[in-house]
Amino acid sequence: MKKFILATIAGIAILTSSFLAVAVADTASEVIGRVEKNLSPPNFKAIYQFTNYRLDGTVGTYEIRFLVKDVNHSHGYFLKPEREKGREVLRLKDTIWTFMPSVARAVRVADRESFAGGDFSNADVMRIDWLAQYNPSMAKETKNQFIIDLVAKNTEAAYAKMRLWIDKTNTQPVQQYFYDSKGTLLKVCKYGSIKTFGAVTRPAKLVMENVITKLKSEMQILDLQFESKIPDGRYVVDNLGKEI
Amino acid sequence: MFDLIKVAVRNVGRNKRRALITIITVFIGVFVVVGIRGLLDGLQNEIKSGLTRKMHGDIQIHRLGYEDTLEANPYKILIPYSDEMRQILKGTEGVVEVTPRLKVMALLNHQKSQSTTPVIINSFSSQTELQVVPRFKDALLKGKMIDSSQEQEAVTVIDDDLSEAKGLDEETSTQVKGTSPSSKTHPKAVGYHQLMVTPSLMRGLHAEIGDEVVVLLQDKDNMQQAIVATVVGVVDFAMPGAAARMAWMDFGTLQKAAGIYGQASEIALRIKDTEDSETVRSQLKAKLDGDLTVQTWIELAGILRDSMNLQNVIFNLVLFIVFSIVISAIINTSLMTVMERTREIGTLMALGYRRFHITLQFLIESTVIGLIGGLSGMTLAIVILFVLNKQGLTFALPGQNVATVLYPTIKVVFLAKVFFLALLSALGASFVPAYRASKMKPVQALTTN
Repeated sequence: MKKFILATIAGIAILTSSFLAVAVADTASEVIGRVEKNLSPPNFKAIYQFTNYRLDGTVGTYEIRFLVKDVNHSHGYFLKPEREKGREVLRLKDTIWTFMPSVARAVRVADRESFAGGDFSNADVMRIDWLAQYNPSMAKETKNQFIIDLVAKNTEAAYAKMRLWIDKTNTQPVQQYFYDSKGTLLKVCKYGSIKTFGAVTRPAKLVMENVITKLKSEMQILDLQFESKIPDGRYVVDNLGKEI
Repeated sequence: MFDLIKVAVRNVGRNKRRALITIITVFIGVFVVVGIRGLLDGLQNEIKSGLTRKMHGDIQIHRLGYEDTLEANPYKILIPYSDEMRQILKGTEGVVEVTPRLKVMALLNHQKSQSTTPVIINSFSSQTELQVVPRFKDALLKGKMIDSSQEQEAVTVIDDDLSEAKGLDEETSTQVKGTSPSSKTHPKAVGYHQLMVTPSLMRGLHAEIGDEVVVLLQDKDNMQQAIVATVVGVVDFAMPGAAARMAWMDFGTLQKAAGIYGQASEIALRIKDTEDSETVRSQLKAKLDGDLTVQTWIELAGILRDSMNLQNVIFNLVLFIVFSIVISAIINTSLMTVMERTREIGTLMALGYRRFHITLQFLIESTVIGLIGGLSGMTLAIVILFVLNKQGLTFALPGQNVATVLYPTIKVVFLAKVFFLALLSALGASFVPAYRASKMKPVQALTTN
């Protein structure tokens, strides 16, 4: 009888630990899924402000209006500065295009290229579909935060590995590390100014620091409104440079 | 005939001053032409040697559209480079050595000054590169060449920073200052990777030999990669067309970082005789795929090729002007001689000289003048060129950091050409006066005052 009780307890312990392990594995994906949902919700329009701080002390500020249908369809229109007004960017599935009004031509650009000349890459701004490109795993769960490693699972990913710190209480990202394939840290992104925009609560301010070059850029959401009536024609390359 | 020559030679000495002036004219003409050609050959040899033995190699193989696509998408124009490919190329008659190069666009960050600049990274394998372009070493201004055998691959590092993070709102200084570095230190994947840069990059980055730099690049899958490298040398080709924002790394290191295996951006070849480049090119083209281009050094020379062609055109113009002056001087001398010796011509004819003998005598006189002036001018030019060839003529072109050393040289074929040109000029110039002399009537010639 004693042996039976011990065997039952051992069996329950093994089963419980197995379930727990599965639960933890699921948690990493789930948590990232929730973060992604907040950072990249469907059907909204927003005004983003990008500020690039250069080593020579100069500061460049850009204001861009974004129209987003889903993770595969987003469009940006440069409002400021006057010199850049009319420039457009378009995320269309796996491709990113930029339209330059001075030459009235759309050019395909790489994910990795700098967005608005700063330290955010095109992928950082217009391609938040981490679960599609990275395998998440819980690196550590602290008292207040989940620390999740995201390892690239295909060649579409812009970084070999990312590490994301997420606040347990509100599932908001706190900090993000970007690594190369040898494990060298390339960039650090800090999140802050949590705000509610309609049904979505998310950080309204991101600061990206390039650890190698020590340059910094800031992204701030000035306004975000949900909008489902954005015409599909807005997400067509041939329509770049045209009023829709 | 011998008597005719003897008389002609004696006649040259009859009016020593006039003969000397004509000889000096021919002397200067030949000296200038041979001297300029010698210097020009030295300059063009230096340009050719700079291109074939310092920069490009004799022949290069690329994918079609290489030049247009390199900066936009360096991974789109890769060509196969395997042991098999190497054997095929080395097995081609006339090919001595083969070396691969891989070029990518990158950002170069100097850690000490935190200066960052875009560059073209050109990588090579030191074992084969220096056999194809042995004078690459001459371009080294400071430090040492990359030694591929000393490269040590970086070991993957694990960042153990798993402590709770502070978001923007929690940080004490949320104010972004732009230049404040991250306070935490993170491990970097450091092996031993060598990097050489151009002088302008060295100045721009405020770098010194031994400094650490980070090369930031996108691999063939667009993934961001970083290579921590040490600046080991400064390279200046001192040639037009050499990129100012260029850095050099080891071929194997860059291949690994870019995720490229069995491929290269270009393959450079050294051949036995540069003059055979067209023949070797044809053989290579027959062996390679149709979308690969095989270019000889002269095609790669670009602006230098045009410059050399222009130099040759200008030289030919100088040659024409100089020999026109020489011919004019000889015509003038011959005409004066004919006029002065009209009575003598009449006497010779009265004594039984035929018109042919009269013509021949004047032609021989001019030839003697041409030979003395031409040979002495050529001899002096050859002696000076020989001395300069042994010592080297050092000069710096505008905008160059490195002095160029010329070794003037002259081809025997060119000397033979000039010799015969001088001779022909003398003969041609004196032909009309000589003919005129031969056409005189003895009675009229004898009665002329």
